Amino acid sequence: MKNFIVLSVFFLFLSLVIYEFYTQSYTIATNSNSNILAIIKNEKQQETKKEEKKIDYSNFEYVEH
Amino acid sequence: MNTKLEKYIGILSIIPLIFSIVLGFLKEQNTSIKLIQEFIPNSKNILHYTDNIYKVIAENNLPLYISFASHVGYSGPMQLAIIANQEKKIDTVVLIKSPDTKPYLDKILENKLPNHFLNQSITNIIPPDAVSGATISSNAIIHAVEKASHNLITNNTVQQELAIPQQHNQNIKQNAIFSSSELYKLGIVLFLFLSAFWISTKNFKYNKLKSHYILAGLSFVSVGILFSMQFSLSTITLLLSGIWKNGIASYAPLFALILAILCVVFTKKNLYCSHICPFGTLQEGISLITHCSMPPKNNFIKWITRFFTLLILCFAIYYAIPSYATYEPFGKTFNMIGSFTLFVLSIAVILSSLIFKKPWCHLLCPMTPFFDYILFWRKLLTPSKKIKE
Repeated sequence: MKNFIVLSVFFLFLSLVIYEFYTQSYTIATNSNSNILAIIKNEKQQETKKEEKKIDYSNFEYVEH
Repeated sequence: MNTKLEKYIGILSIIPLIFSIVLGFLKEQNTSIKLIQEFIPNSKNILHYTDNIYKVIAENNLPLYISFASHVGYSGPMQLAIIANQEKKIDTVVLIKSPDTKPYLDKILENKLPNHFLNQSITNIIPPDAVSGATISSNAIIHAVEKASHNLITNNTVQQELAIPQQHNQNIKQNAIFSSSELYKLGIVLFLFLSAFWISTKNFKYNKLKSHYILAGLSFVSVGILFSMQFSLSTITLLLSGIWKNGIASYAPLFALILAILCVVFTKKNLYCSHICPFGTLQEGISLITHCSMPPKNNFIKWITRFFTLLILCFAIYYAIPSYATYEPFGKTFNMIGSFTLFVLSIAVILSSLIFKKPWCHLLCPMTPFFDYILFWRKLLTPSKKIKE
């Protein structure tokens, strides 16, 4: 009985550890063919510039002060 | 298991370790050009200025200046590259390698810390605030970008091409050196090991059990809760892959590991696991509630643990990323660092400590097979007189 409990606890630990290793290390290391972690490009500004151009002025009203 | 077979397996298991060290070293060689080709795939020409600085003629015939730099993060150097355009502005930040734990990096990317550098002039970098909860890794990125831009503006060729004034001073943070707090930590580690050694000697006159509890309590508070200096499989990766040479945030876990190895080599006693390990103390403390006994020894469990430890160690050494070897619940228990799985594992270990004494230490802790292996080589190289006879 004691051996059964020990094995159950051991396999519980082992399954959690294998899952942790698989999701946090193995998948990250092997799934990407790239050597790079992240590329942060200057795309945000280009996007905002495009958005600025798209502003629709038709609903704006001229208010006289 | 047959002792002769055990001996052969022990000797042969050094081969995958050596292979992973050598292959990992070869993997790191001549990667700059490969990296440039990867993040600027359609580059027409790559000019090598220095080992860290390259000029690339992009697809649109405009020149781009690439500067590689690194700065010490939590578990080793954070490597990155910046790409500056003709207007002396940062166009792209490329994070190449981070030995730090993934949740830290995710937090930094979620908070868009590297984005703050985009469009900034390389002659005047205004650093953003570090991301709370990932301060060391954030600072590593900030200082590495500062270094990379400093490398560019101090290079003579780049200065001429981009018309940068020659005397451009910028304060650059150098890699971390031993601070007073670091020396304080090293002092605590040394004190704990000396105390553990004293308690384990035959000449110790006081109550050994009470002294053990006092020392374990001190270690739990200092090594575990206050400074999180507990070493793990990632520290062994750090030591074997040589990443520590380039600097790490704290040398205390590495110092503790070296002292623990020395203790095993010279005294044949695993003082760290028996007296100092804060996670072991936590389990021991919980086990006192039910006064449970240790789990019975099992060869199957012992060999699975050994094989798993070796496999993960080789994997992490090959990729030279210590965080790949982090599967222990130490960090999550004391520092709240790690994934949800590690949180579940920590709870599972704490609860099972009510059934068995030190269940993690006896079932799956990678430190047990590691110190067994050190002891195995110690016995193999210097056999005792009794065995000789």
